[in-house]
Amino acid sequence: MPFRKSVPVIEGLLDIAGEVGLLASVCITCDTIYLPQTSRCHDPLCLGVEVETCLVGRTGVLLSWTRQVYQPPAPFRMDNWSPHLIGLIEIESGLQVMGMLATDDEAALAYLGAMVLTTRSLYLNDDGDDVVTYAFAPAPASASALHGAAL
Amino acid sequence: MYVAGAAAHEWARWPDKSSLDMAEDVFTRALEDAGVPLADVGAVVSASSRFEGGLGWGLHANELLQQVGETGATAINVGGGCAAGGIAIGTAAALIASGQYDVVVAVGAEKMPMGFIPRPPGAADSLSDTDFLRWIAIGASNPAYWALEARRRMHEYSTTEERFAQAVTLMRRNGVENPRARFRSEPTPDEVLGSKMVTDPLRLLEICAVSDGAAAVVLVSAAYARHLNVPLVEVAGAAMTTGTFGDRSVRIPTISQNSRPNGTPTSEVRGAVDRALSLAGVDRADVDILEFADNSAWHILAWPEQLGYLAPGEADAMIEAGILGNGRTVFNPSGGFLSYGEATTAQGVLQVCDLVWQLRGTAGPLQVEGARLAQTAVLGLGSNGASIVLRSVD
Repeated sequence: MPFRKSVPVIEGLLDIAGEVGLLASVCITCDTIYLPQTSRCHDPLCLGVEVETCLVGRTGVLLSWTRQVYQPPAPFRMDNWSPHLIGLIEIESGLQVMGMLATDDEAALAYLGAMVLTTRSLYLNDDGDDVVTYAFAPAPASASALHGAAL
Repeated sequence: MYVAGAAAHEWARWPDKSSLDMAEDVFTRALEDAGVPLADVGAVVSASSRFEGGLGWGLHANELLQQVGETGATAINVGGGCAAGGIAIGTAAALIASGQYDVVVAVGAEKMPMGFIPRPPGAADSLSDTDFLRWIAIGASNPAYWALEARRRMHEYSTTEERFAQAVTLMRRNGVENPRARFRSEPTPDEVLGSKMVTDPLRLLEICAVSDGAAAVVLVSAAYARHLNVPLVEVAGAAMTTGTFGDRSVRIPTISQNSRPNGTPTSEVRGAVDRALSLAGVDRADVDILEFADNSAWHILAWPEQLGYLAPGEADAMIEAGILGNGRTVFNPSGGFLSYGEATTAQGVLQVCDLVWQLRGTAGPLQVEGARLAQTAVLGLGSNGASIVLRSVD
C-alpha cells in the first residue's frame, strides 16, 4: 500500500507532525488560551496584550454533543460523508473547543466523559494527500485517569 | 421620538419578488401609514443583507432610494448579521436623537437561500475567520450550535426532549392567527418529536425555517410628530451592543469559547436588553410584551432566563404550565421566528412592527390586552445584539 501523506485542513490550526495538538495562542500576562491563534489577548481586563504560540487540546471533558444529520454546505468537504458527531470539549480551564468526534457511536459518549485529541480524515486532495481535521475521541480508561491528574 | 408608521410584508417564500420589490412595498406602505411624504424623509437606514440585492455591495438603502425617488436623502447601510434589523432601528433612532433628521425610515428586506444558512460569498478563507474554520474543520451548521446548547441544558437542568417539543407547540400556537406568519398551524408535541432529526436533539420542527420577508418603520422626532395625525408609539430606548469576554454561550460561528464561571451567557443580547431598559428608565417588571429571537426550541426556554425575564432553570416549569410568559410579561405573542421562519436582516424590524401594532391596540387576534410597554431582543453573527423598548402614548 503506497504511503499517503496527511496534511491539515488549514495551516496553523493543528500540528500533526508528531503527537497531534491544536495550535493556539496563550497570553503571557493572564494565561488565557485562544483557538485559533490570535495576535493579542482579547480580555479587556488583562493588562497585557502579547501572546505566544502553544499546543493544547490533547485531553478534555465532553460538555455536550450533537449529530449533524444533514450534509453541511460548502466549504465543508468530506469524502463519503455520513452524519457526523460534533462535540463541545473543555480542554483547559475555561477553554471550550468545538470539534468533530472521531466516533460515530453516540452510545460511547458520556456527559463530562474524558476525551482525547486525534485526527479525522476529510478527503483526498488533488495531490492525493489525506486532508485531516482535528477530532476528539472517547478516552481509554487510563487516559481518563491521566486527565484527572492533569486537572 | 416616535414610531409613526409601520408596515410588514407577509413572511413566506416569494420566488417571483426581489428583495428590492419587497423593500419598496414596505417602505411606501410605512410612509402611507405615517402620513409622511417621501420628500420629508431625511435618511433611510437599511439592514444590509449578504444574500441578495444591494447591488451586491450591501447598498440596500441606496438601491431603495434610487427606486422610490432620488430625493438626495442620506442612505445608510448597516451590517449586523441577523441583528441588522434591530441595529438599523437603533441607528435610525440615534440619527433623530442627534437632531440631524426629523424623519428616518428603517428597512429590512431579505430573501433567504435554501437550506442551512451558508457562508456568504466573498469572504476571505483565512485562519482568523472562524466562520470559515467552523465549516472546513467541523462541518457545523447553525443548528449544531443550538443543539450543543440544548443537550448541555438537558444535562444541567434536566430539560427533556418532550419539554422542548411542548415549547414549540406553545410558540406555534401563538402564531396560528398571525396573518403575516408563514406557519399557521399548531403541531402537537408528538408531531414535533416525530419530525426529522436535524442536529440531535433538535428536530426539523424545533428549528426555525428560513423565509423571505420585509418590514419598515418610520421614526420621527417629537417636533415633527406634532404635525401628524396618526397614532404614535414612543421609542423609549434603543440599544446596540456586542458580547463580552467570558461569555458562557456556544457562539456562532466560533470554534472555541473562553468561558468564565461569572461570564454572561448570550451577553450581546443581555447587554442590549439591559441598556434599552435603562435608557427607557423602566424595569423588566414594567414590560408587558417581550418579542425575542426563538431560532430553536432551546431558545424558547433559555432566552427568557438569559435575558433576565426568568430565573435560570425556571423555563421548564413555565412550559409545563403551558404558557409563554412569566405572569407579568407575555413572550412572543406573534408566534416568533418558529412561526415566521427567519428572514434574517428583516427580523429585527418586524419585531418592532409587531410591537407597534400591539401598543396601538390594533394587533387583532394577537392583541395582548392593555399592553403599554414592550421590548424586542435579537442576536446577530459576530456577537451583535440589539433591543428596542417601545411605550404607548396616552
